[in-house]
Amino acid sequence: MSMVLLDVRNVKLYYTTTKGIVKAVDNISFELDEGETLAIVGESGSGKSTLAKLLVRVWERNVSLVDGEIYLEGKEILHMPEEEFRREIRWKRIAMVPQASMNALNPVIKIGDQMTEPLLLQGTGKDEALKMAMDALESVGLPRDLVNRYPHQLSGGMKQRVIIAMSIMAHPKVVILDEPTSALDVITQANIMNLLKKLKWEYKLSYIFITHDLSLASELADSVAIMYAGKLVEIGGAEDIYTNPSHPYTQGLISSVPTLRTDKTLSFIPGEVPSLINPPSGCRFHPRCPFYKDRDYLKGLCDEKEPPMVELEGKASRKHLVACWLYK
Amino acid sequence: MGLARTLAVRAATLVVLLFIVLFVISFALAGPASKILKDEIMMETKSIIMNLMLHGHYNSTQIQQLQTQIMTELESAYGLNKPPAIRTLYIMYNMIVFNWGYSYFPSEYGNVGGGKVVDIILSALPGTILLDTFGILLSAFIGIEIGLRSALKYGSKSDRAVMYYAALANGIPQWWLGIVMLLIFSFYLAQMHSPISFPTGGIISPKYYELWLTDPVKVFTIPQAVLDLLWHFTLPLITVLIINIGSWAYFARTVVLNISQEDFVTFAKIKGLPENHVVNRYILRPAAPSILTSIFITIPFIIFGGFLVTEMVFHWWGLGYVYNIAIVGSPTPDLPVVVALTYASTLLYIVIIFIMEIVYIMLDPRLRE
Amino acid sequence: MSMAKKQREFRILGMTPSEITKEFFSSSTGKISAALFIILVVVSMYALIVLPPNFASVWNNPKYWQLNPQYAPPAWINSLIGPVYSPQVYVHDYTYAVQQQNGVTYITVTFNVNYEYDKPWSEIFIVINNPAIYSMPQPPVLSVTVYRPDGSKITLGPLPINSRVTTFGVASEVISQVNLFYNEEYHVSSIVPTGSSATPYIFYTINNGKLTPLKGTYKFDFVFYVFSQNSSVINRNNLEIVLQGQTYGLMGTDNEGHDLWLGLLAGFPIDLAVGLLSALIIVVIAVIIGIVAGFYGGLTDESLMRLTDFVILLPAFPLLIVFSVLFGWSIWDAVIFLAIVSWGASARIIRAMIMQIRSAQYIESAVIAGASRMWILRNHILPQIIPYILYLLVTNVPGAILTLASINFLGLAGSEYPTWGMLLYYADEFGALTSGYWWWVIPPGLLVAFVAVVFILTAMASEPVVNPRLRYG
Repeated sequence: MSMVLLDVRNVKLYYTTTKGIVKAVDNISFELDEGETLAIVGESGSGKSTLAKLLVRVWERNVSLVDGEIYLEGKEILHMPEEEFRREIRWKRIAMVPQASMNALNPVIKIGDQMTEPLLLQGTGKDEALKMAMDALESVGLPRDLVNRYPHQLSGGMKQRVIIAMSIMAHPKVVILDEPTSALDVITQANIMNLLKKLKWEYKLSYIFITHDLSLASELADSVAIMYAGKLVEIGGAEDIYTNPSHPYTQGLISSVPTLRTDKTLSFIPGEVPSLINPPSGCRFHPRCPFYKDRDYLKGLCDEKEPPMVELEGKASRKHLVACWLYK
Repeated sequence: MGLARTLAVRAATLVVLLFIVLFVISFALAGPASKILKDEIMMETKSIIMNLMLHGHYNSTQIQQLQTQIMTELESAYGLNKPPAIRTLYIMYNMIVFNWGYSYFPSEYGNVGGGKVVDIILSALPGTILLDTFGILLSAFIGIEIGLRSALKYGSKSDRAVMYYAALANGIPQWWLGIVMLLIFSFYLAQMHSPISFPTGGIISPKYYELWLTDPVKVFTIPQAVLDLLWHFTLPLITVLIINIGSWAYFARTVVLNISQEDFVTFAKIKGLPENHVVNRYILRPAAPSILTSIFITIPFIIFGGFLVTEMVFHWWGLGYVYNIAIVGSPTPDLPVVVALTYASTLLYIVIIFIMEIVYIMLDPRLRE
Repeated sequence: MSMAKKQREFRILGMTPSEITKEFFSSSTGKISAALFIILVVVSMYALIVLPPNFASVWNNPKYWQLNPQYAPPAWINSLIGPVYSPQVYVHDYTYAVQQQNGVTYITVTFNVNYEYDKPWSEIFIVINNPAIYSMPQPPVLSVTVYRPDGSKITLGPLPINSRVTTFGVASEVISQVNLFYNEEYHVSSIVPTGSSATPYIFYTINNGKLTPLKGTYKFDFVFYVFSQNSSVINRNNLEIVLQGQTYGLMGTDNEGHDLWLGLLAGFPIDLAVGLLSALIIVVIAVIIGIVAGFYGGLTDESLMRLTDFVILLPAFPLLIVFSVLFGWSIWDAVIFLAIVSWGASARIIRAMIMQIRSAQYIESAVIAGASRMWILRNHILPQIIPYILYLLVTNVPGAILTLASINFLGLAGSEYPTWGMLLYYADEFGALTSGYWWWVIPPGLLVAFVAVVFILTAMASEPVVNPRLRYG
């Protein structure tokens, strides 16, 4: 039984806009064990990037509510004083590789300097830090002399690798990867995925892998959490999710993945992602849910009451939970 | 390789532009100003004739002949007998080789350098550097600091106060504020017989005037003169600061706000870097090119615009004040001074722009390819 | 169904018009700028309504201002410093009696005034708006008796009335009569200085050898001797008696007695018009150049950019000064010239915008779908840049107003209408600084600042709309 590394309980993050309050993350809970890779899957607009930012406590100016608890190795970190969090946790224990890393590098500072920054500020010697940077570059498959280059001299894929290299330099416990490959071509994508696998073994990392691509997630994930409209609708071991998708949304996602070998009619989920300002009442998925349309006994239930998380039978060690009135 | 080429192209463009500006100015002044020149020549001729008549005896026909002769000579000396295009080129050539000639009204400038335009301009240069350049630089320094702090506290009360201050500072005419300052701190303080009051204008008291015009550096070696200078400097400098700090604050604030939204700033925070480190390396450093270039650009532009009138209001002996005397203050426009000043400022501007381009490239590695 | 709805939403820069309005007003800057803008518009309209269309000729015609004191502070100054200055008094409350005897009409006009100030009225004007006066073979004659609060009495006149405005105190008879009065009463000779008006001395007394104001109620008896049977030559409708005070009106007067309140008011429409016109021309040129350069690219772009560089490089203000002097420009010439040399920066912005939009995906697809350049311009590009155009318009106004005020302050490029800059020019010329005429010096500059600030605030409030990075503060 692995140790629970990260315990996220009932977290919420709302922010204000001129159109209203956006409930980007609305009461989400999950656990991450040591050495586990959790994939958080959802469409764009589901709030998954906001969740990532929530975990490292770096969010927009217009945030209006942050609630819930996060325990890292038993210690609560969401309400910890900012300076303490910055010194102890951020990047040192939890690191994040942001989405669209192309622009995450400072254009006027050399790569090497940007890589060694966190270490130098913690007291590591200049030479030692530089060596660590070059080692990190090597482990992500980049030339060591890249430390002397500027970001604009690198390709998108190289920049992505640099960011990944930076994230492991501090030996964090948890690395959050927010769509690490969406902006890249397929070949580079495959390379990066392999790299991530390798690093995971080498450095014993725990990943939170955020993506919209279910099939991509399946390459790396031990567990999968499905997010919809700011809420977690299903979570469980990868096996269970892929072989027994229980939430109608998950089922829709899986059946919309094209397969090469079998002859499957491509289906898609009709409708569009709901607004996070005025989400549908009750279960947020009900307007698009085929079961809701079909079964009359669900009317008055799915459209009015939010379904609680229910445990299902599963093969994996991680509990298989789903939030759907079908299973109550 | 690419760097040298880019700079060379840019330099060439700037030089061409300088020529065109010079041409336009020279032509504008050569053409329509010919009437003024003619009046000038008429006046000169009359005074020469007057002089001659005092010392000699001529009859009326001789005087007529003399008059025509002198006028023709003068006209050819001023190049009036040539077509405007030639005159323009003549003016341009003289400008470029710094042969700026003599002022028409040397007495207006205290007869500095015997009326040589170069000397007049040089005498006014320290005043402009003191008030305009130093004033702007100081304002930029203070303003950028304020703007930066303000942007980091976006939306707070102090940020909003800075915004309103900047709006006011940009809307108030600088020279008018100067007038108000003089009204309050010079006129009313004197009226109320206050022990402290400020002078009504001028750059330095008359007793040091001569020295300042000819050898300003020497003035700084005399403590009382320096104090006197500072006393005269107070009101103008405060006026300049009040108006300009606002603009710089707003500018810096905007630049910083724009940059703080960049992904690399967010990532710097994600990396757990401390606040002031992020500010210095991820906000200020990338902002430096725009901020520095603005400072550079402002320096030569200063005599163009509000500062000209401000110098006038305070009777501050600077390039703007001289310019004003040359155009508006003299009986007819003092063309040599006008053309020379416009040319000199444009030249200065071009040189500074060029230096600025080099600095920009040095600061932003992305431009080096 | 929801798909169709989305298409009908009109978005500019990612925001619908209602969202734009909301964002604009969400900041306090937006609210304040809107409020001030309304005030600006209201005052300007008020000025246009209140002032006659030929106000310029009125302003420049001394006839309208001759009764006003010159260099006079505003009337309300007394409420601040106490009853120091006599106010301008237009006598309305008088008794009017007509008597005819032997072919002469005697018109008696009597009124009282309360004198409680330290500085007396400087002049008395008798105005008769009847041209028939001048054509009479024998003009009317005026005789005045003043009953002073201390019981003494001064008899003044007879004074011929042969022009529309009779300036009482400078008539030689009146001067000698006042001198005589002081001689007899106080044994002081030649109290009225040569060249001065005798009127103020009507209100003085001598106390311990010093000239002090004699405060109290004065009774004035005016008797007009009209040598005609027609008694209506002078009547209530055409007679005006004015005591010229030391203060005047809401905003005081200048060196020519102009009512500065009217002058300042007149400045609103003209300064606004001038600023808006200049900004409009700038933006029109900038948009044309920016679009052509950004849209067509290549050589056109290169050459237009060189042109823009050149225009930015031109020393606008000095050239404006030089040309205004050389060509004797009016303010409208200056407006056009200023616009022609100031469009550079705005053109660059528009061009940058166009290039950014042009490289967007949807343009590419539109081109592939066979859309013509014009169509793309009209349907994709123009809607996107409209906010920028408006923003540039607002941003360019303050600069224009300030520059034109500056050039007016130098005494150049004026107009027959009084602009604020010109008011300041005259203020400076006529020693406002050396004599402390604060009411002449402060309001015009304040108003220039006000108008400029309104536009600046509006631009500031619009920034989150044109710069998405500043949204949702």
